Amino acid sequence: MGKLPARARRAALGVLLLALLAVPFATSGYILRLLTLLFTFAVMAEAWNLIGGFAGYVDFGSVVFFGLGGYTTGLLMTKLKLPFVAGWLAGAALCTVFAILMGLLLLRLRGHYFGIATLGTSFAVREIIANWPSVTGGGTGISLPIYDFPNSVFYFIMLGLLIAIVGLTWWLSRNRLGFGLVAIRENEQAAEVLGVNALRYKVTAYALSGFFIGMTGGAYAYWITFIDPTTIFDVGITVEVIIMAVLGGAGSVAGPLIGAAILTVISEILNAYVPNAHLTVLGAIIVLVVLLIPNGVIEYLTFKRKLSLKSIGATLAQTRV
Amino acid sequence: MPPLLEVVKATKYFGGLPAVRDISFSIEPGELVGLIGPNGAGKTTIISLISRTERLSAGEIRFKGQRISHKSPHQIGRMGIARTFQVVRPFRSMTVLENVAVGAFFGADGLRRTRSQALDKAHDVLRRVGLERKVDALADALTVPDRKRLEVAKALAMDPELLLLDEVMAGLNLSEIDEAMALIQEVNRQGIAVLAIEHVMKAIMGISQRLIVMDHGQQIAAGTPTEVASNPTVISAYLGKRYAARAVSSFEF
Repeated sequence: MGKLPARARRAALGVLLLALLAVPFATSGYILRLLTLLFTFAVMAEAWNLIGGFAGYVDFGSVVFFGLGGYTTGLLMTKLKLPFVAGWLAGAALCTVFAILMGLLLLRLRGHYFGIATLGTSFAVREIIANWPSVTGGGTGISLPIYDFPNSVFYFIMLGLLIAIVGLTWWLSRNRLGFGLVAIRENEQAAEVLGVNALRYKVTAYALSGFFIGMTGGAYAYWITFIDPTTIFDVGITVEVIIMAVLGGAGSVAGPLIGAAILTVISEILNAYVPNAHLTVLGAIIVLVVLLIPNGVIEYLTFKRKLSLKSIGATLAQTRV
Repeated sequence: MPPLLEVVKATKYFGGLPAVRDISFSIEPGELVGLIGPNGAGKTTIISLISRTERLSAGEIRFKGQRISHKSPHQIGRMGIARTFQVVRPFRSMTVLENVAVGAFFGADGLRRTRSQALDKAHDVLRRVGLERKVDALADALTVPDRKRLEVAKALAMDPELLLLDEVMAGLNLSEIDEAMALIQEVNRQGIAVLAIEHVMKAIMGISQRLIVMDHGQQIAAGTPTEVASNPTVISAYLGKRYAARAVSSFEF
């Protein structure tokens, strides 16, 4: 947030936080639901950013943690009658362990191969859950117990997760872990020669990513109260999360959050006014963004670049086809 | 005391092709050793084998008496061996300071450094290599000689005991070469042993205490710069047999 002095920035951040905390008392219904959904995606985009943005390993299977978190929460609550918090934490723990195991295997792959392998993993897990009805309820899905508290609880849960992951990302971007991850992204072998234990760092980023997406999935499942394999393991969720992170600025602290806000709002407007052309217009916007501002909106918000025809033209000229 | 570095019958095959065959040499603490030879002689492969970015096919490498050929590159880096790459590898999206801070964060004592200690260390190293005015520049925006300096600075921030330099002078003009020579000698004076690959003969002859000459993956000569310069095998490797016969007495690189 570039040119503002630190104190003004802190004050602005404080005001924004207070406003966000006050939202549920001022409004309910549509706006509250929209913001909760926005935060849900923002947490996932920030979580994807740890492995995809900082470490540069593009994860095409993020939704696997969303689904696993949701299913673990749902199954523990329905089959074992555990309270939500227990199922929720168990789901996040499972996702973390799953990320560590998958990471130790898949993070040895470079470039596109990692993306393909993670995409495959998310399909495989979805199929296992869809075809194991005795344990998971199979393709029909499961209904979670109906909660007897107001909707705003989920708003606060998602907001809390968002604050936690943005804080974590900010801390990490200034410390050893972030330096190691960015070095890996820029040149993995050069990073290793400098003493970076690349595999351990990548697995750490992936595990954190899995943990947060798992938390999101668990809370989402309880909020929605019904999940089935097709919707909660939908590859479209992964794609949307990646677009948000890239649109806002992958590898930055606040970029994915900004991307999530922009995309959610645009989606909502398009859905309301041009429902039939929604995906077409969205697709066109994404193409333009990737072509014209490949480093994300954040570059302009932080005054690293001025928004002008000239700078956009320069970007286009440098675009390697 | 064992030597700082011992390379024992190091051999490396790429496919069926031997890039390095039965090379043995050692480096004492604080030494400045030049590694020379025509293109394709296997010099870079030697550095890659020591830093373990390539695996040995046979043989052994020891550092301070300890076998390191089975360790991973980051472990070797933390033990005190740093290297540069011939084609420099800056972390492009990072500033010069951040690039060097990576070495300070992860090198020999790096894991014990806090953020501000690592950044202080990076500032310190950048002053030593003469990049202090470029700390906030993006690595991508540096000139060629500055990129070479950055490459050395990243390695120095690790506090190595042995620095492996892969052609830091390639692509530099004459005055830049002089600066690079001065930098290497300065580093060596601080007690860091250096193994330097170089094509610029005048430079490497001038600063090395000892030279190892390779050709076709094998060691063909070793000794002081003067000994090596008058060695007929070396001259014929560089200039062909016919020239060597004529030039052996009066050869100047």
